[in-house]
Amino acid sequence: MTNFILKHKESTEPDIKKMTAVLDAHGVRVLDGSLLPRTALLELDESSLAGVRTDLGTEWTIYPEKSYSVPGTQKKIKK
Amino acid sequence: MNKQRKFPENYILLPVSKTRVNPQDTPKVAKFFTQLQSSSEAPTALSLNVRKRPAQPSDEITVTVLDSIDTEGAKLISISNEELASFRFSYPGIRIIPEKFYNPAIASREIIKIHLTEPQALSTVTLRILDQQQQGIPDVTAVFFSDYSASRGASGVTDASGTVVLKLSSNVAERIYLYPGHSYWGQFKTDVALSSEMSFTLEPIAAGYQDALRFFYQTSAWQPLPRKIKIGIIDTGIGPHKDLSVLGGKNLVRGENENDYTDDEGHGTHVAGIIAAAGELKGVAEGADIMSYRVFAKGQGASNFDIIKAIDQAIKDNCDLINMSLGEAQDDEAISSYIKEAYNAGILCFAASGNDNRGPVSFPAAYSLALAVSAMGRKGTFPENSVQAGSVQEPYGTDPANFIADFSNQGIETDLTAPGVGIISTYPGDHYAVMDGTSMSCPAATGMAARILSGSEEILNLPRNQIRADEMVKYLAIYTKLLGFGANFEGKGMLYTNDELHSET
Repeated sequence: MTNFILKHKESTEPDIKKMTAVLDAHGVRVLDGSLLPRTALLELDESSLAGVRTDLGTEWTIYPEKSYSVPGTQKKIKK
Repeated sequence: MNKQRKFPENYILLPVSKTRVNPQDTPKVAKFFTQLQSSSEAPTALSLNVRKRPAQPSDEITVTVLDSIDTEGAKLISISNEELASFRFSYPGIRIIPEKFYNPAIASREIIKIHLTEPQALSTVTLRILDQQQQGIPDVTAVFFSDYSASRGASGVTDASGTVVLKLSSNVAERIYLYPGHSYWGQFKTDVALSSEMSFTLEPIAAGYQDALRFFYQTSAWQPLPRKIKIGIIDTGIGPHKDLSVLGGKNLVRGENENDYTDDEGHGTHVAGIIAAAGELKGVAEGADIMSYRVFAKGQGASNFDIIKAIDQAIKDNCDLINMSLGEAQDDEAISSYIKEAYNAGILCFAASGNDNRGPVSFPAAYSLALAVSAMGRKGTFPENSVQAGSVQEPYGTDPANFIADFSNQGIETDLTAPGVGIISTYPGDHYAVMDGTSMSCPAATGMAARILSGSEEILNLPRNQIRADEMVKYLAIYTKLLGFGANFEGKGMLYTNDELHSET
């Protein structure tokens, strides 16, 4: 299972009913819904990603969750 | 001094939102796009709005429109790298994206990796790090390079007695770096003969020491900001520290207490002190309201989802500026879409250009609606044998004592430079620490932007939309000074409040 960010990209109101139905149909879990209705953090099987994208339609985009670091300057030994 | 030639490059211009400009929403951008459309295929001299004095012929820059998608759509232009930063500050409501060329996806042969076996240890060093009273200093990271170019050597952290044992494959250390957690300057040495027992004494941070930040900005003599400005700091949390007053904030890390936005690691507290310390040490924007948006779990990276939650919260909290001393190599549309939302809400985002030793500008600094800040230093503002001595590298400025730090990234996306070598600031536990990096130059620029913008009630009172952000960028452009490093290293230069920015030239 991998985490992805779901974001509504249009300026219109998102169709939450349809979005929820698609996520349920693909067994997608909402890990963080604090930015709903426009954005949410999802957990899903990568094999179902293409299907989720197709069923949600072009008004939604899905980005991978990434990790950011504080840019350090300390020199490091190669392990 | 770095001499950059004026090679023209191609860029795509787009409105801040969507792909076509809407004359109702952004009339100024629509007018500018129409101007470019009418002059298509011919060089166009654009008049810049970035000087306090009356317009001069030298204020004009030449832009060639190469292609266009209708009047309201994207424009392909050609402009020299040297003039790009001035262009960006003159027309802030526009996304400027380098033209890219894609290659066919041909699979290349896998590169053969040669694994070198680590030679046997020749030297075992019991190292003690001491203070001026010869007491051991714990938590000092010692890095001994037997072969610096191959990054080979040994490293460790001192224990409670200030001791660490290192095993190296050489009798000589090409380079030694000692990094204390706080309260002392680090140390840098080259070509050191190793012995079984070694000790080094670290220099404490003296009160009132003039570091690079205070060389350029005499913070101890400055008055607090005349008008409130709210700055969101997206980092490891802030404080508590006796010199810092945090207005509010939120912990956005999943599963953590959202009301705990204090700092366990030091980075965010250091960043906050550069902006707004108001005690024994003073930041560049004393009196600014600072908000702590914690996105880093202890010892871990920050999720882009938590970062966008932090930007969203900063928008809801009516911040004026956002500081992001963090980065990653690849573009990330999830974050750029929220930086765009912040911009459309009249908020400017400052981001560290990254510390990858002249690598490309990191994301989100590289995103066109964020302001990318590089790190510069000044000789004589750190002890001779300190770690900072190892950061001196060309390009040097018009004043040869100024340099761009060896770790600072470079590229056309650079908007500003600021002091980021040997910066003294606040550290959790009411300590002070010296840190280096674009993480430090970024808040120096954010804080200076706050100080400058606090002088313009008119701009701060504008409705919170894209025009407000545009006007902020244009206003800041008036208060910049080029230091002679070249556009890829300094963009529009360093922010200053008046002509007192003291450098020889």
